[in-house]
Amino acid sequence: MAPPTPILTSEQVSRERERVQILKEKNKCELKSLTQHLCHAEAPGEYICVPFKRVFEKCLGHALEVTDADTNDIQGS
Amino acid sequence: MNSTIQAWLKTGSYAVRAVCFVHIIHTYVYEFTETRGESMLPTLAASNDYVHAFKKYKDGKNCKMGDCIVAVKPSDPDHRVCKRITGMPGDVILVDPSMGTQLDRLPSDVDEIDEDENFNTYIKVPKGHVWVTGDNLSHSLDSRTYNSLPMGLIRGKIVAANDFNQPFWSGSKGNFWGFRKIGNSFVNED
Repeated sequence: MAPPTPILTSEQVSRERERVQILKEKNKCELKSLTQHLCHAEAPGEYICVPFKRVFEKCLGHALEVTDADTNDIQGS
Repeated sequence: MNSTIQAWLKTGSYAVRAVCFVHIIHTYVYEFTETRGESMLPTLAASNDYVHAFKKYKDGKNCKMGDCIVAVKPSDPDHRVCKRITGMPGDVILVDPSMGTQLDRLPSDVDEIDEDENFNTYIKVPKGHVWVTGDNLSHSLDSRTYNSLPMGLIRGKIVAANDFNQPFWSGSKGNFWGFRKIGNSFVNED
């Protein structure tokens, strides 16, 4: 099993965002995305799937997820 | 009598060698196996879908973010799982951003969603582990439940699939029983 993995504190996340921001300014980051889905059965064997995009800043080999409420138009606007 | 025994021994010998050969290929080179369950919809069908997996990616060797893998289930070693890698060692990722979405909720449930919490719950993937999630985030038992997956449990990378629900030719997913490639879904964002 995996070792205990604590949820990062807001300070740790802020530090990570600052690090990525500095690397972004040096053009060392790539914005990448990965689309998964939210599927529900409409009838036996029939599914409706809604795409759910996740966005990442990949800098120097490591990714920081930057998915937020606007990424998938969650407000339904 | 003697020649009959010799013939049987020869046949048995070839049978044992054939079984060993298949076992070695299946363990170290290539596996063709059935998948079941809704967790990888719409990439893999819920039933009658068979995947082609290459074993050179065993133990996570050369696996990348966005790859589809087959692994031993950490909570039940007798079972295998097919999942997508959504976090590599050292990556800082959200545990479950889909929980913060209203895309698949009833209007009556929308008020209960705490968006801020779901878009601020980050973890750092430990060394030697990957974060895996099913493509169907609504019905998948994955790293969100059993934490990161040790790379040593990865048995191979899925590169293609056949859907035997499809006709032999001209099916909606492709010819030859819905044959299609399963690629890496981690792409550059415009």
